[in-house]
Amino acid sequence: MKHLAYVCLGLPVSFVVLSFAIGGPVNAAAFIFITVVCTAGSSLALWIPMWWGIGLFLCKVVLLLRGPDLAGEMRNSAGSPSRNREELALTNYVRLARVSGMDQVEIKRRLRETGWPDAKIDGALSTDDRPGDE
Amino acid sequence: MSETASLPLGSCQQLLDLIAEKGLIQAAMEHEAEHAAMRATNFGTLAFGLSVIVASVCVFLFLGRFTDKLWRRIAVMAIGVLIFEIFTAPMWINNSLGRWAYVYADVSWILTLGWTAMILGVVVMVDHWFATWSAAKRFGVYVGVLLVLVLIAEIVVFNLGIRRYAPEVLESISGLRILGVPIEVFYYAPVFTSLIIAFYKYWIFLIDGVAMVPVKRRNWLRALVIGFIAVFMFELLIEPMVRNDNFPAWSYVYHDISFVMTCCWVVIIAVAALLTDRFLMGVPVPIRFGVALLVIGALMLPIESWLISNGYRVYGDSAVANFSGFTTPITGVAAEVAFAIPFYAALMVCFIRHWEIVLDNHL
Repeated sequence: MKHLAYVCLGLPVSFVVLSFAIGGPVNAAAFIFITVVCTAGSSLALWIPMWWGIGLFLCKVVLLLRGPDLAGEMRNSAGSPSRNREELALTNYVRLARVSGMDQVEIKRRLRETGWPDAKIDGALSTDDRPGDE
Repeated sequence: MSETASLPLGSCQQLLDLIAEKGLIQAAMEHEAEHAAMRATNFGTLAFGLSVIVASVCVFLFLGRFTDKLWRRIAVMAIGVLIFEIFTAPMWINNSLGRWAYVYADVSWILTLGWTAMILGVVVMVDHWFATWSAAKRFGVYVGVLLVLVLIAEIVVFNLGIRRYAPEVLESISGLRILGVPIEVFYYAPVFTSLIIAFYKYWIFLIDGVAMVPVKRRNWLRALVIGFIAVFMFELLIEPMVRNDNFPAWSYVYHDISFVMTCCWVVIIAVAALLTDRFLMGVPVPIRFGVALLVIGALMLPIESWLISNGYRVYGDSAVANFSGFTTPITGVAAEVAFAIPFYAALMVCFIRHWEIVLDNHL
């Protein structure tokens, strides 16, 4: 049902985009019709997953903007929103790295190599240590 | 049988004329009947199609013993193959696979399925057998093994009469052949498989939850070099599709491939990377990826349109014949050119990001 909803969302959105892209809804409808006819219907195997993907993408964007994690942190941030996004990216990495069995020294080394200052690295490591963050 | 043949979707402009003249349904039926002969199977191609389907199913069942999340892996690989096939469709002509075997123009889902099974099979088995090797070494093994398999597959499809090459491709090749297949397959196959495997690997890193170190300070020199390699090798591959004219003479590095043009695309990709790094750090990768494609599309489309309008980019006859006749408003370029940009960007971004991830994470 969820997947059908993605398709139903993706279809009109892609139709509108296509209409803008190729000069109107009649052209958009004709384009889809032609691709379907020229392939005896097989191109629906291309269109439907594409509509599904577009629907999924839009849902994820909306959830991201409304969700408590990123958007919440951005809204509540008294300082720079980008600082919070960096912290989130670091914390996520530390968590995944630990799950994959990487030790703290290796995590630090890799983060240093990609330009992170020690203070931020230590902050992320300690944040991920906190109970409830697992 | 002639070396080249007319392209099935090239007639869609004729279909539009027919629709205007006879109405939608009648026109569609006449058009389909007209092209049914070209797509009609014979014993050899039918046997080939069925063999590909059966072999692919067997490969997927076999791979299920060595890996998890198989359906996701198949889907990602198939998307990569399909993107490549749609983008390069004007260079190849795929006949006689049956009326139901095509998904767009003469791009056939049977061939997509076959390539998907072949590439995925090699990648999964090499990863299984050489799990301790570095990602770069394994990548070399994938490409090496696939070079042999692609050559064999190409010989089969050519000699069955399924695969033909566009006139521009035939003009650009040396003429040396191996059982009918141009010797240039030794360049085309590694580029084809490298781009698709990089696309697949990039998304599989995410699906498998690989810890990818966030980059605070990107190594721009390295990123630009990887970007340049990706764009240049792809430009070389699609050289028969589009000609770069009227660029300064010093800028041509090989045939009509202009250093200026290559650098322009690399800079646009770099701008998209800069913007996503700056504003979207911490945002889920699929959204960053989608935004990057939108940025690249928004920058590339007007530039490509301007270059086409002013005679710097000239699409070959086969590419033009493949156009449906629809054009974008304002810029007036073929709709297919506009749609090709995100496909192109997806392959390039995945290739660059794949190698950055491999190097940053010592995979």
